[in-house]
Amino acid sequence: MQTLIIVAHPEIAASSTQQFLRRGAELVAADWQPLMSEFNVATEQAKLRAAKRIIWQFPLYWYSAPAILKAWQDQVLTSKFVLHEHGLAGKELGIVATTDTKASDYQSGAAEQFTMAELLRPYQALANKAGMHWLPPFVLHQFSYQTETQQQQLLIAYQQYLTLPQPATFAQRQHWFAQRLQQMIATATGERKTQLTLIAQQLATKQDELAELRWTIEQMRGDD
Amino acid sequence: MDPWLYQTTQQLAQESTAYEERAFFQALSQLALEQEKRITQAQGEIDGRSWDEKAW
Repeated sequence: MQTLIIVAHPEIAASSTQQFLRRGAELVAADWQPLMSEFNVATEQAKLRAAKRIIWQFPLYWYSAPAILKAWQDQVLTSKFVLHEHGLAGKELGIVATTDTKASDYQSGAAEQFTMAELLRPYQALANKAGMHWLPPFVLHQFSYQTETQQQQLLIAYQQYLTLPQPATFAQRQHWFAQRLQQMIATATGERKTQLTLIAQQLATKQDELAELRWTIEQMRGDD
Repeated sequence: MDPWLYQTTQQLAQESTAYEERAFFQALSQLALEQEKRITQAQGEIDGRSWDEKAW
């Protein structure tokens, strides 16, 4: 699946968060496209047509994207392209937003009062109008405050967000790791190859065990 | 006691020199824990349903 990431950040080179995410995007061969102040409408529309999943990625500025994304939208997403030619129909739209505010602030009664889903509603409306499938947004809160372990898990979660059906099931996430392990095994040698193979086998065994238990439960529920 | 898959992937995460690989094994170790939790929960549900007197 071809994922196109449109990054709207005024100082992308200086953003450690964006550089971090870029590594994740490269690992899954997603198309990383930082927005520049000038763009060619026909070229941009061609990129959109080629993609299956489109991601708008940006830091939240006053509950919205930086101005460059709006300028791009206004010029590229013409009525002709979106409504008459259905240039985006059937594609997926995901938002990757970064914020320095903690996640628990985005709820009624908390500091920000509104949930992230409410704040990102205009993008959801656009997806709806364009006939796109709206994905659950991927929001990074306070990236720089995260521990190294949290950031490592984030790198994997981001790769899965770019590549797996969303929202991904646990079975799909298990499968993602299994596939990655097979790729690593293919290039490994000696003791490492043996160790990776054992890991892959154990992962598959546990996956089967869980699937079998789930199946049994479904049968029991069906008998109720 | 932590399951083998968790222990092994944690160890690999600590030994890996490449950041991407450390991240991969770290995330895989967390998935292993989640797998164990779900297996335990599913076994618990099966036990509970097996002992449901309404089904006797």
